[in-house]
This record gives sequence, C-alpha cells and structure tokens, in this order.
Amino acid sequence: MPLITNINEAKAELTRLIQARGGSIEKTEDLTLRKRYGNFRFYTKEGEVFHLKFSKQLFQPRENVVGGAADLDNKLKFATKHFGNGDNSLNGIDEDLLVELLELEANGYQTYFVTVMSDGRVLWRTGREAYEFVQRYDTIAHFPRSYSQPICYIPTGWLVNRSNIISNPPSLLK
Amino acid sequence: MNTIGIDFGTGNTVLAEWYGTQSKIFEQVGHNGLVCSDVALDKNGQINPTPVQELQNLSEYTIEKFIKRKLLNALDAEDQDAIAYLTGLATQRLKYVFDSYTKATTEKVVKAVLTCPANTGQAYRSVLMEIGRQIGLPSIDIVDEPTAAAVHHGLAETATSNEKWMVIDWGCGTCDISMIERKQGSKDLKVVCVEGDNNLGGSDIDILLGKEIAKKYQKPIDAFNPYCIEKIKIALSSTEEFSEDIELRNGSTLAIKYTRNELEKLISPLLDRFKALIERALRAANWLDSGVDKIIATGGPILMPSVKSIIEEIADDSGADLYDSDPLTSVAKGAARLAEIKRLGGMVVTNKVAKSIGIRVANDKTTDAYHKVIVRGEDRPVTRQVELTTSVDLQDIIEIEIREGDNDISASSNTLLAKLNAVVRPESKGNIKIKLHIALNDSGALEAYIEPIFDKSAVREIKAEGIRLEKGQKETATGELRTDDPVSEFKTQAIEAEVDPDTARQIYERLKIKYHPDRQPEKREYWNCKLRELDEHFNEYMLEIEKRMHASSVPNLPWGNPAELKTIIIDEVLANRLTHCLANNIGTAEQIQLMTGLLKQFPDYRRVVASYLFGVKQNPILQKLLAEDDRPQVGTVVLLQNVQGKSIKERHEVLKAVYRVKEEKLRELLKDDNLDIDKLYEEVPKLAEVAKNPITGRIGNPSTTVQSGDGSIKLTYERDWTWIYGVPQDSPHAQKIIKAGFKWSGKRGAWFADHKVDNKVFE
Repeated sequence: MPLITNINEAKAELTRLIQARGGSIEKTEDLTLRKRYGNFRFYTKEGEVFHLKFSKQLFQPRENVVGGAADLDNKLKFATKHFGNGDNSLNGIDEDLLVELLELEANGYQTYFVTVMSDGRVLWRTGREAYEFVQRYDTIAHFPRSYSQPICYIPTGWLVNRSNIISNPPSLLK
Repeated sequence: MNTIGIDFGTGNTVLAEWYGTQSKIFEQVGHNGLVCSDVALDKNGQINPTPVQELQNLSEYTIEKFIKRKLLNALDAEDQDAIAYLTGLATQRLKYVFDSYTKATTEKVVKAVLTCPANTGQAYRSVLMEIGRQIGLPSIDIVDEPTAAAVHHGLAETATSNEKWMVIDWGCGTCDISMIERKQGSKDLKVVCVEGDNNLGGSDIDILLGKEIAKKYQKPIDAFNPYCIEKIKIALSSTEEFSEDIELRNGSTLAIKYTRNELEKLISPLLDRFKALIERALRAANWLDSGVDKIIATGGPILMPSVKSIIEEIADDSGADLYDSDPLTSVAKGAARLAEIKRLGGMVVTNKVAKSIGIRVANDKTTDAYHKVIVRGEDRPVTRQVELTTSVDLQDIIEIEIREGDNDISASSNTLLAKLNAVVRPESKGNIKIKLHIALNDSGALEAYIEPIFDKSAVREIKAEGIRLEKGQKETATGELRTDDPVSEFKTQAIEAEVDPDTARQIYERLKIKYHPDRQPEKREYWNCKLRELDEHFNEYMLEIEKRMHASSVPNLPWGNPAELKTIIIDEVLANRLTHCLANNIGTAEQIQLMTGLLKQFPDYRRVVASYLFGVKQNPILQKLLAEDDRPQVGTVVLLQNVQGKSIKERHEVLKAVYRVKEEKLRELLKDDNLDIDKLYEEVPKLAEVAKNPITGRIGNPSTTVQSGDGSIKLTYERDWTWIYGVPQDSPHAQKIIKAGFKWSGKRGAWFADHKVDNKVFE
C-alpha cells in the first residue's frame, strides 16, 4: 500500500519537511505549465530551491542491450553498480531543468533535487552534486525515444533519504 | 501602588503587604490571615476554593492535604500527571487568597514576592513562577523562605558590623537552615550555604502522633477527623497535658489523654534529625568554631517547647541573639518587605544554587550523558554558557534538555526542567556550532537562550517547552539569506570541514554571488570589504591545501598486512591522502604499489585524483593514472569543471563534448607532459564528434532553448519546429509572437511555429 499516491501528497510531504526543518516557503513554481508533469519547485525565504519530483516507479537499466543504446545502458549500469548502494534503479530529471538549478545556484540559491517516492522516502541531493554526477559519468540519455528533452539519470541509492527529521542531543564542543 | 509577599506553605498560605513602613498580614481571609493550604474537593471532584477551616461538614469533601510537599515529591519523581494535578490545586489556593486581597484593596499591586524552601531546586521555583503568572501576579520574584524571614527580622537594615546569621525555617512540610553573611556598612545579603530536609516538617510530627494515638486507643487512623491530631499537637505546646473528648468521623466521641512528655519522647528521632541538620549547616558554613551572631527561627514547630529549647541552647552556646517572634507569618512579612525593597532597588540578595543544572549531551558511548553547566553551591544569580555542536550527520534538530540534579550517571536520572529544540541547517556533524546560555536570575527564574557561533543563519527556529525565552529572543528566527559574515560561512563550510580544492572553490563561488554588493547597494562599501576578506580567506585556504599537498607523510595503514589492507573500505579523506602520497612519490616502493589498488576501492576516486591534479596543475603520476583509467572522461570532466570564468551553458556544452572525443585522443591529452587545463577546455569541443542519435544516426540536439534579444521570450527548438512556453495567450507579448508566425497550441498550452524562428525576430 503506497504511502504517497500522487504529486499533491508529495508536495504536502515536502512542505511538511521544509517547515519542520525551519524553512518557510515563499513561492511555488508549477512546472506543469511548461509541460514538465510531476515537477514542482519550492522557493524558501532562506534562499533555497527544492526541485520536487514524485515517482511511483523508477527506471532500471535493461539487462542485455545491444546496438547503439548499449553504450548508455553500460554507463547507467556502471553508475548503479558503484554508487547505487545496492539499488539498481535510477532517477531522472530533464537536462534543462537540472541546468536551471545550476543557474539558480549562480544567483545565490542553494538548490536541492528532491524525489518523493510512493513508499514515503524523500530522497535528495544538492542540484550541483546531481549535475556534476551526471556530467562525470555521462548518465544522460541524449536522445530519448519517447521524449524531446535529454534526461539525466542519477542512481537512486546515491540519493540521501531524509524522510525523517533527524533529532538528537548535542555534543559538547571541545 | 502596593507590594505584596505570599508564603505558600505546606500548612498555611499567608499574604502580607507592605504598608508604609512595615509589613502587614492580610487578615480578611482564613484565620487571622492564615489560610489552610489544603484544598477541598466535592463529591464530583470539583475544587471548592474556600479555606477548609471555613467549610461546614467536612465529611462531604475529600481533602487534599500537604499539596506543596506532594508537589515537591512529584517534581523529584517527574510524575507529570501528579505535577499537573497538584499545580492546579496550588493555583486555586493562591488564586483564592490573591483574589480576596485584590477585592479588598483599591491599590494596584505592582510587585509580588513568592517564597520557596531554600533547599528546593529550580523545578519548583519554575512551577511557582508559572502559578504566579497564571493567577495574575505582576513582576514576580521567588525568594528563599529563610531569607524572607531574616529580612523581616532586620536583615534589611545596614549592617553595623560583619554579621553571621543562622535562619531556621521549620515549616509544616520542610525544614531549612540558611547561613547568611553580611559585611559591615552593607545591606546586601549573601547566603553562604543552605541545608535542608524536605521530609522533615510539622506534618511528620502529626503523622507520628496520629499513628500513636490510633494505636493507644485501638482505632483505625482514618477514624479521626482531619486536623484533630494537629489540634492535640498545638495544644501540647501551651499545656503539659491534653485531656479532652474529640469527635470521630462516625459521630461518636473519644476521650483522649496525652502528655507533652509522651509527645517529646515520640518525636525524639525527628528532633535528632533537626539537631543534626543544624550541625551540618554550621559545618558546611565553616562556622562551628566561630559561632553565629544572630539566630532567626520561624515556622509552626518552633512553637513546641522541645524545639524551642534546642534552638535556645544553640543560641546560648554561641552567644547569639535569638529572634523567634511571628513564627507563622514572618516569612510572608519578610517577603512583602523584600518586594518593596526590590521595587525600589538597592539591595542585592545572593543565594546558593541548591541543585546543579545541566544538559543532556551525546558522546561516543551514549546519548544520555549529563553535563553540569551550573554547579550546586554556586552563587545565584548566575549565568553560564556552554558551546555545543550537532552530534550526527545532517541533524535537523538539536534537542537541548535542561535538567536539574547531581546524578552524574545519566541525564535522565535528573529532573527535566525545560526543553529547547533548535532547528538548524542540516550539515555534517560538528559543523553547526551554537552557544547555550543558562541563567538563574535574581528573580528566581531560569532563563536560557541559544546563539549561533559564527554563522548566524545556522539556527533557523527555536522551540521552547517549559521555559520562556529571554533577552528578546524570538521563537522563530527567520533564516536570513544574508548573514553578516560570509567569511564565517566559508570557515564553517570549507575550512573547518577540510574540503578539497574543488568543493572549496564551489563554496567560494556561491558565497561571492550570495553576498554580491549589488544585492544591497546602500551597503556596497561594507559588502565589498567583506568580500575582500572572503577572497583572502579563500586564497589562504588554497595555499594551505597546496602546502598540505607538499607534505610528506604516509597514511597510517597496516602496510605489513596486505590482506587486511585490501579489505579496508576507504573514505574520501583516505582517498585524498593516498592521492597525495602517489602524486609526491611518498612511501616505499611496496607501499606505493599497494596505494593505487587501495585508492580504487573508493568509487569516486577519479574525482578525487582529478581534483588534486587541478590543484597542482601538472603531475605525471596522476595524469598517467587518469589517462590509463577505464573511464578517462570522468577525470577530464572534473578538470574542466574547475576552469574559472566560464558561463554555465558554455561549460555544460564543453563537458558534454568530453564524451564525444575519441577515448584514445583523450588519454593522449591527459598524458601530455605539458598539460594545460585551460587549453584542454578549448581543445575538447574542437575534437568532439558531432552529437548523433546512436539508434537513428540522426544528428543534432532534439531540443535547444535560446532567449530573444531583450530576454522577454524563450524559444525552444524541437526538430524543425519552434515552441514558446510560459507565455499565456493574453500576455502583452502575444501580438508580436503572432506577428512572428506563431499559432497557439491548446494541447501543449504554448505557442508553435512549424519552422525554425530566429530569435532576432523579437529585437
């Protein structure tokens, strides 16, 4: 039974987490208006941008790929093998949206790429980390079959699950 | 304007006001101003605030006795239900007394002093303060009961010589001894030490006596009406023998005969405890030899001849003057006098901290360690501070529990006073640093506040439970995009975290933009200055890294045991060290041989190596390592990511081009003895093949986006078509878009042209 069933619940979950962490949302950008379904951006007063994606099922590289697509699949398999921490799946974001996060960083924002999963996990990395990963390991589908935009893939296991508030007593400073 | 003092005792509650030149008991309630502190509850459990002594037919009520003592015990046991219940009862009792007073007076009360046993800690003081606030008392101070009694007996006058006072406060619930010192010519009081027994009170005498009489007359203890035993005790203070018929609960009468001698014999263990307490106090104050100048005795049991004689004996032995008048009201009268003195100012009362105050902290072994911040016996008022940091990675909330007690075994074995939850920016553990200030102020209240160290935006919000944040600290501190100091932010994020040059540069670049002077032109000078400082720190840090790169140490690893060495899962710090050793040929030939294999266990070693290479610009060993790697592109991308002064879009295209350069050519470029990273950045796009769909063989990007000359419109090219997204049909730009040959596509919600439209059309 999924905990989060649609993008609205995912938005509510991320809003809760941002607020619980002391952030206050200044504005929300609905990327559906740009036909990027399931993508939202939350801007906080603290100068952060959370790029939200909701995902029910993630992409996994296929086992035996031959021909032109094999190169990309090998790269994706390499990424999941070394950085997936046991998780074979990958998380996608449109290339131009990821570059936009870098541009936002250049304007002084701290950006995060956040994926809310239907099982309740909230996975994230900073926009820059995500971008640099895909560039280094070329995990970009430059010519996706069914979509006009190149898609950047990030191993799900490489993302950090932050669905719970981490609360602990302090340590003494020596 | 009136000032008042309220003594909420286990037996009685008394209110006194300062009246011109002296304290006066408010006598319109209770028995000449003595209101029984016990509270009656009717059959429905509803509180009847009327004093018990004024109620008819007590058998219809349940009497809650010894509320204060039970509250003290509940606080020690941290029994939250009992605390809430007893606090409610105490509030009702005090409210009744205070409301009766405000109805009877036309003057406005401007200052109130509440009293508490000297040997009680902050938990009870905080509860009392909260009760005072709830019933509407203005400007509340909490004062020790013995101190208040001493003030009533003249401690408020200027001392004519150095004086040592012993104040004995034996009440219904507790017995406290305060040793007070004053210097010649000063009014200020200094409590040298406090000793007390919270289970030695007049009520203990009543309990012993009740059991004894029940046994003597073979009746169950609950056969006696409430307060009849206390009456026998009080009567025996003035007569040698009590001989009367008393009415039992069932309506029958019982003839009681009991002598003072019998009582004194019965309570002799309590009297011994009392004597021992006095001796302990004299020893703790170091006054056993020097004696005391004055003794003040207050509280109900003082009226008992056996107790009185013990005190008189001590006074005779040390040649001290004894003041024991008004034993039932002197605390309230002194409190009223203190309220007036505090209103006017000019007298400092220094008390002793009765129980240590500390916080729960996490260490290597436990998350329930106790760290004392204010130690028992310190003078109060007192303020102490402690520097704290996050104990786990990405910690969102620092839970600060302020506890009271002296049990070092664990934090949870001490009484919880308050909680402060600081919501902080999630970072690696140890990065966020805060300073916690804890103060026990002059009014008896506990104050605490949190202050971030260095980075003011680190603490975003503070949630307080059981404590009022003082010093104007807001519960919600809205995080600021700008802190006052980009340098401290760089120190926290880069220098203290010892990040690699690549990450340091990223942080530096982000801060340069975040604190750009154009964002606040009216403070341009200030921000320019701050950014110059940031430049200096960044350059210093890069030099520091460079120095480290030339250091000659070998990582501390089990070189002698290759099998163990191979099982080590290395982290980034170790990867950096190994890269350093490889680059500088540090270590024996055998060690160097093992290093490469070890380094490659770290999945992101290519980034680490390339980042190091970027720092030193050229290094044949690292260049060879990257060139001969199965993925030479990764190192090349990292090198090119670090090239300064390029736009995001341009860099993006160059990085993408790396994977279109023939692998052999890339290896050749990386191996080049004259490697020039800036030149490599220029070379890569020229050497890259044209982007081609690997399946269809089609050339070109499926989609690119360009801006119109004035920046108002973004054109997206897909195949041979052009799209404009995000501009609605009713936009002011609609006309010029239509003029450029676009049509509205309702399906996509965007403008569409079936050919490639030049962005210059909109200029």
